[in-house]
Amino acid sequence: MTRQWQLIRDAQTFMEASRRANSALKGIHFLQIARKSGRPPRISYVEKIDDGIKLLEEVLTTLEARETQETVSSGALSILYAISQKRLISGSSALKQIIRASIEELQKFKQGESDNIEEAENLLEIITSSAGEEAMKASAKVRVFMMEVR
Amino acid sequence: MLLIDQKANLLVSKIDFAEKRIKEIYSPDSILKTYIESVTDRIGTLKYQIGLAKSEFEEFVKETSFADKDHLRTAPQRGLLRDILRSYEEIEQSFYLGIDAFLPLISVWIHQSHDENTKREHNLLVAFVKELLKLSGISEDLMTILGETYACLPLYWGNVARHIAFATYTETENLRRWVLLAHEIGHVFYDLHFEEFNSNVIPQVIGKLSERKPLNMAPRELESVIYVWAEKWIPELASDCFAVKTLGPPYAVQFMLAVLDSKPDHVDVSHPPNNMRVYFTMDLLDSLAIPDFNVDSYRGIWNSYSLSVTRPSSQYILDEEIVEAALNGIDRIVSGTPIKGKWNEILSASQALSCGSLPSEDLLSVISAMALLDPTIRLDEIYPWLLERYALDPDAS
Repeated sequence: MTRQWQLIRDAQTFMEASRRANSALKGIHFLQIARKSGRPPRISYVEKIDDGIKLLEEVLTTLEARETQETVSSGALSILYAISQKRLISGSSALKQIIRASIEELQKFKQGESDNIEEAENLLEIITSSAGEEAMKASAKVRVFMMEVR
Repeated sequence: MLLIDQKANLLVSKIDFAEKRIKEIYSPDSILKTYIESVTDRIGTLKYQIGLAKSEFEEFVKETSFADKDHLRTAPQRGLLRDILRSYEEIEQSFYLGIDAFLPLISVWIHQSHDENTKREHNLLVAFVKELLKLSGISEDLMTILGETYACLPLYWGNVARHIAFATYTETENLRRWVLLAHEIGHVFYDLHFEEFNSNVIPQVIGKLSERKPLNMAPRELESVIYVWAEKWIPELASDCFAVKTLGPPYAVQFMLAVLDSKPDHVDVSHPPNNMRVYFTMDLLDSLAIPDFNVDSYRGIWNSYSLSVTRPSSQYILDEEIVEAALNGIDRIVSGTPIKGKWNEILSASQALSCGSLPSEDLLSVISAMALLDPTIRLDEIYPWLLERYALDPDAS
């Protein structure tokens, strides 16, 4: 596979990671707005947050699986790469702690037990923006290449 | 109409255009048909995503009274607008990578397979790829295009992975080189067997990377090395392994020629160093124990260049134990050895060609035999003969 075509694969993988994290952020923000205006939350907001929890759980599972040499998720590996490019974390145990705390925040937030969502929002924002940037970088290189081919 | 609504309409018009172009394809051949089915499903998904993004924006407007005349005041409102704008970016990018990158290739495919000037040579290439797929037991139809270079374009349409192979246009008549397509088909194999690699090679390599990492290595650097090995090098080495076990010496000989350069130990993010790849290829040939082929003489030829222009490297990413974990794992998963059953036919075809006669073996054996022959042997007559014999309409065969 040439470098250029590899980039298509990279762009698609990062884009999917960014899409999933962004969807969770939409759930968070929709829910915050609805709560502020006193309207009942729609089920779709909560579902988006649930998907965000699943995403973070996948990343956590992959981090743990890496230590025991078990099956890892390819998407989660890309997310870990994207996080490492954007946020300085001292090591995998610190990152695991951040992810666990974020999952807990999301659980409490969706159940209305807490409004504090800072850690989770930050982490999802890093995943969305960093994976999005990686996807953008890769597809920009593909664009140049496609133009040359045509 | 709000600006985002205009953006949504623009995306809808792209979808309409793509659907129209696909409907206009008159009587697609059997290979193209399978791609059209997959891309049509993908377009349907993108259409749904646009609808979803539109309804989320409508809801946002209702909740916030946004009218694109004034900026938003609260953090959740601003955050939500940013999230919605990102959704549109994602759809645009998905459209570009999955649809815009693919649709023009339909025209190229149709042109090459129908135009009087290219039809026969393109059909010959398609027939060769068909035999290669059959030999390796891959049932996927594969569009193959005479293009810029030997390559495999992956298209991930949701959960469906499809591929398009390319052969170098200026090597259309240099059939010896076509065996390099075995590596590109190796990428199809990798995607089909991804779960096995993901469970049995990638974790072991990551384990070794963690175990062998230098003490002062920053987590960020480690993540980069893990990413390179897991997402780039393992698929490339698996494709190399697939190609050697499928076409054996003919592939190895042409591969060595293809990667011969002045920097055989150069570490590139996209591909492992050529030295690692060639040594892996030679070791695989040793383990295949193919009769009448002297692996050591080729190893010697490679070393005469490689050892002259490079020095052994001690880079962490090339740590011996890490490389060994990767290569052993890949070798175990790519378990089929079709070359063993094909080798005698290739040798017979090779003998016929050396004597100046036309071989009676299949196209795959003849082209593989050509890849092995001394380059000074002229094969000018073979190309028109193969065109005559094999370049029928692929759907008619």
